[in-house]
Amino acid sequence: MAESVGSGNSLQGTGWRQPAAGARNAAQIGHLVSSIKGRDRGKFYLVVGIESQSMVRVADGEARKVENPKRKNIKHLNFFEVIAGEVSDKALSGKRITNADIRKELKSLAAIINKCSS
Amino acid sequence: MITCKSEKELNYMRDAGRVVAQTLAELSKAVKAGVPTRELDRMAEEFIVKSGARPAFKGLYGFPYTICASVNEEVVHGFPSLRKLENGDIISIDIGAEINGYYGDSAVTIPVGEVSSEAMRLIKAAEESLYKGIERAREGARLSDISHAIQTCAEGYGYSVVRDFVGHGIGSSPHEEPQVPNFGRPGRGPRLKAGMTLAIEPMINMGTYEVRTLSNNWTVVTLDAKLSAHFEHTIAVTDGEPEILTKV
Repeated sequence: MAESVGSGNSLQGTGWRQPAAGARNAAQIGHLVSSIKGRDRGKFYLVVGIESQSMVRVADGEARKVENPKRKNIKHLNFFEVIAGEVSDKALSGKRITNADIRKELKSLAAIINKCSS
Repeated sequence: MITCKSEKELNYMRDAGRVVAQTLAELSKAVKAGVPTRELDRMAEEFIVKSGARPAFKGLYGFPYTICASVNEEVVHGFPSLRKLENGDIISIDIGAEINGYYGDSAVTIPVGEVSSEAMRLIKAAEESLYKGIERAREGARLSDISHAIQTCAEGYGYSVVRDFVGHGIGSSPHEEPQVPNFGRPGRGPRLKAGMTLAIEPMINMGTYEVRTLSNNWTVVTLDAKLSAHFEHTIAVTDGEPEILTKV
């Protein structure tokens, strides 16, 4: 059975390029992330799609809607250990995620993060 | 840490490898149009248990089946299902077995009935690249010499090598260090020593190397929905020719 890159740490320190530790495996729909690279640096998003092992689709429900999510390399995102329950549940049960859901969740989640960091 | 196996440990791995190889040989005979992949899973489990081994994948990280059955654009970790194989499909079957705490792991891609010449060429390229990689697994060589040989061979055919999933060390655990990528520059990574056991597994795509994981969180498919082939052997590095442990 093929092993997912980054699930081991065997090549660390041998000059091999490794993906951001943990983030690859952790990425799932509803994950709260913030951009750390690009013109949108500092913005909060929710993961709304996983395109490949290294690319995810993110949306904030305002500038980036669910219909037109932003493609982001996971290396350019900061993954918070918070998952928007409502969004994740909806995605898992096959329902459509709406922009209003994302705005609502982001508002409450980002407020918690800001409070913790300040 | 990369472990080198003793002769006793290698014997256990030979036993596990033999069961895997025999199971794959049995399944290869059973693959034909109209057979659901779930049936292949059932046969594999029955055969492995009958041989005194344990299916290694069942329950591994929560994987629910004995075999990975990946059809056409599915790269790896396909779930056996009620989907019936059709004439012209290609199916990659990946199997693992455990005996006395040691593991064997092997995969083949099998054409179903009459397949297109492009699909046959892809299968040939994937198999050839596996053997090119195995050839390089010699004492004193570097790990990425294997990777480079696989990539050169596959890309020589005009195909691409999956980046997000890699081969791995194997022994008393189905996934051990080191990871064995199927791409990269030669002369890098740890030096190979006699007694190391590796599962070398090139996953070769007809189109882009990019893949995505389906919503079951397991099945990996090609991003452009083109065909993908997968071959794998568990090998032991020796002071001479590498020994293929999963061969009948």
